[in-house]
Amino acid sequence: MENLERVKQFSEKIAQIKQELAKDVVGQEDIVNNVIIAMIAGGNVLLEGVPGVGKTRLVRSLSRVFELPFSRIQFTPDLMPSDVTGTDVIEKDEQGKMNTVFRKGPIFANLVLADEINRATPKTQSAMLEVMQEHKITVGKNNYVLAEPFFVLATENPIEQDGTYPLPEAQMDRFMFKLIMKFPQVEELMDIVSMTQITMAETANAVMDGETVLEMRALASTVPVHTDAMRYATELVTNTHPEVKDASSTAKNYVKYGASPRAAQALITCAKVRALMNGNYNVSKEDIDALAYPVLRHRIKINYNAVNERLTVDDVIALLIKETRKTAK
Amino acid sequence: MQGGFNKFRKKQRLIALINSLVWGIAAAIFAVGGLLLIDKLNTKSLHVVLYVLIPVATFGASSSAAWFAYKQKDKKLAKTLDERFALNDRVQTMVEFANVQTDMVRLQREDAQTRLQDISPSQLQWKGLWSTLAAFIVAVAMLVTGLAVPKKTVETPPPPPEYPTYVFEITLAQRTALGTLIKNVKESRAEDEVKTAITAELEPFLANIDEIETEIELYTELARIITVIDTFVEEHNTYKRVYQSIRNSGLETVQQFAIGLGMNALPTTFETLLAAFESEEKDGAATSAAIGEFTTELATCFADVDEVATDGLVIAMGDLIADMQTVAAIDPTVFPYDWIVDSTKKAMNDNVAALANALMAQTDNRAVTSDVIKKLISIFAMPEEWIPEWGGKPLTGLDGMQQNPNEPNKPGEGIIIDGILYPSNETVYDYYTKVICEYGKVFEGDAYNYKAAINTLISEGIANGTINPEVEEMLRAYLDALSGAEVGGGNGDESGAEQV
Repeated sequence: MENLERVKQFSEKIAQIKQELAKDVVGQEDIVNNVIIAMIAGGNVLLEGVPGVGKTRLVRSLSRVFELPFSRIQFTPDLMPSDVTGTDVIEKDEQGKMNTVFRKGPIFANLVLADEINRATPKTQSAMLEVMQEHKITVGKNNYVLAEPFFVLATENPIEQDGTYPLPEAQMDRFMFKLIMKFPQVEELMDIVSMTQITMAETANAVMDGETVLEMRALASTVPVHTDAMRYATELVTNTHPEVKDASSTAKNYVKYGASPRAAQALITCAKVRALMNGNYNVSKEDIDALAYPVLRHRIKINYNAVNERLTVDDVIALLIKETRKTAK
Repeated sequence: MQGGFNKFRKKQRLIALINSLVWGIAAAIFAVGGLLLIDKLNTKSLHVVLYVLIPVATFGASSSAAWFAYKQKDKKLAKTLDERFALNDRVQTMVEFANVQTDMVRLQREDAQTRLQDISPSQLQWKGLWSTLAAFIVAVAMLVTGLAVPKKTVETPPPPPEYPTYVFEITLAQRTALGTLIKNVKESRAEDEVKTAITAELEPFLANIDEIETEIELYTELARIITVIDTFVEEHNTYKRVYQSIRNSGLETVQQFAIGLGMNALPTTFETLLAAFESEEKDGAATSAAIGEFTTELATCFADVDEVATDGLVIAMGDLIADMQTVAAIDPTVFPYDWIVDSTKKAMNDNVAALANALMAQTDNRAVTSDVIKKLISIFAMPEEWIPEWGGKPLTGLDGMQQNPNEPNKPGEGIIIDGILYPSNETVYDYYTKVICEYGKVFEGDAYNYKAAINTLISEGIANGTINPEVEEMLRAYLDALSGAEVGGGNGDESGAEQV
């Protein structure tokens, strides 16, 4: 009974989150949904979008809704790892004694916006990504654990690629989702302009705290996944590999590198959240199909054949889903 | 699991059951139709037990197989429901976690059941409906076909070919030839006793010939007839005994007489004897003595012969001996030498004809008998192994005797061919023309009867390769030689001339 209440509250909370976020973020429902899924699932998101589409606003609104500390890190080529994580400084205490004090970096927040992460040097990127993976920072001999829930939303500007340091595939795998924030539609843009004419400040209210997020995460993990759905998710990830035995024709034709096992983990974990968000109590193949795009698009690399045929990563993912559905029957 | 899923499960089981029953019935009907078809297309009918056993077995096997094919496991049914009613894997999850009792799973289960409650089982598609109906239609079609096809009639197989069995039959030609033979015997120059003896065998043989049913019977009878008539002639003819009796005499003149008798050259023989009796000094006593010696020896030798008193040769020999004894009794001192010689000549001349005629009669007897035997062998195609010995053996002491080539056969005396004396006017059975004809016609070159037939055979033989063309010329020369040019003389084999 208690869990039933919790499940009911889960859906209500999600609805509230969306409702509050809608106050600050116009449109982008898929982005909002997936970001919420990633947060509850405990993953990080790589957001790709042109400047001004609301990436920073979204994260700030999320911090307001979840009532979680937020920080924004603008990555530049001269940004050092210590600028992100923090560093030890020598301070004179009240007694005048010189002590080494660790000054926390902007990473010490629950919600972090890593803006234009691809502009940072690989060294700084790796420092960031280590935090994202392990939720702790090692400075010198000391380890500093970050507070949960810890969520990083990193952005990439798809336009300005000069002087950038594209994230290596291994690092990209750390992100649970890669979301593409598209330019708003006319009506959406009108709404944005209208809204921001009134105020530029975020007006979303808090509807939960970090503890609630963790509870929702725990609840989502109990959603059952039947064997066929599990097999479907794993087959989908396996089908991204052209080098395996009985590889899918899509992978053989269009994929250079396939997704890692983290993709399968992400699919199932996020599918549970999505199912619960939609009022379902089990994971279905539809959940997996819906999540395949954000989970796989940054984890597989298409080959020249796909480029030659003007296929995008999402097109290849669609082909993979189609092929996997066919073989799953 | 309750309620919602169960009703679908029941529905699905019912569908599977109906399907399996229909499949079973269809299979049984198909089997019956198939059996009927087999029955109709074969001449033999199937046992009625098959019409029961096979359909029952087919029903059982098909319905069982269909049951397992159509009956869906819960997992499969769950998938069907999820896909059919867009339930987002609710039912599959419910079925898989049926035994899990966590809060979330219970919630999920209740949610799935609630969804299923709102769906009527009638909406569940009847899986396999069309295939089941098709199977039933096919089965009915097979049954109808089996009923409609007419029964194959029993075809009486054609009787197996009968190998021609040999049917023993005395042909009309054979009967005719035998009748002609009997007639010719009666008209021949053989002595009456011989004719009677021969016809006494042949006439009953002809009369009762229909009673002969097998070849063995025929050949046995023929062999008997041959032996009888041959033995009769051997015993009837006395020449051999007469000859044998005087041939072994120690007196040279008697030996010469025996030789002359055997060759039927008595005139010449008598001249030789006379010359032997005569003396250059015209000594009557010596001549008389020689004659007396000859006569005494002849009489002595002849006395040993087991003669038949009425036999012509015996009578002629007796007369000759009597006359010669009379001559031998002439007193040489009383009668002159010439008287003795003339008396001797007269005695010889008076008896030479009788002796010759007696010899000729016995020759005729032998010739006719030999001809009858040969004709019997020829008419009935008697195998060699059935032919008994006949014709007598060559006379002792006559080995190497040959007919004097300087003495051509005189008319009426017949012709010797291969040592066999054939009196003239004898008939022969012409093998090639299958008719009885005078033997002279055979050798006179009657084109139709013999030579033409041979020529035809030769031509056919050359055409079909059975006669070598190199032999053709020789054969035609042989036929030309036979055509009347050498009748009565110079016949090939002159050794061992068979006499009576």
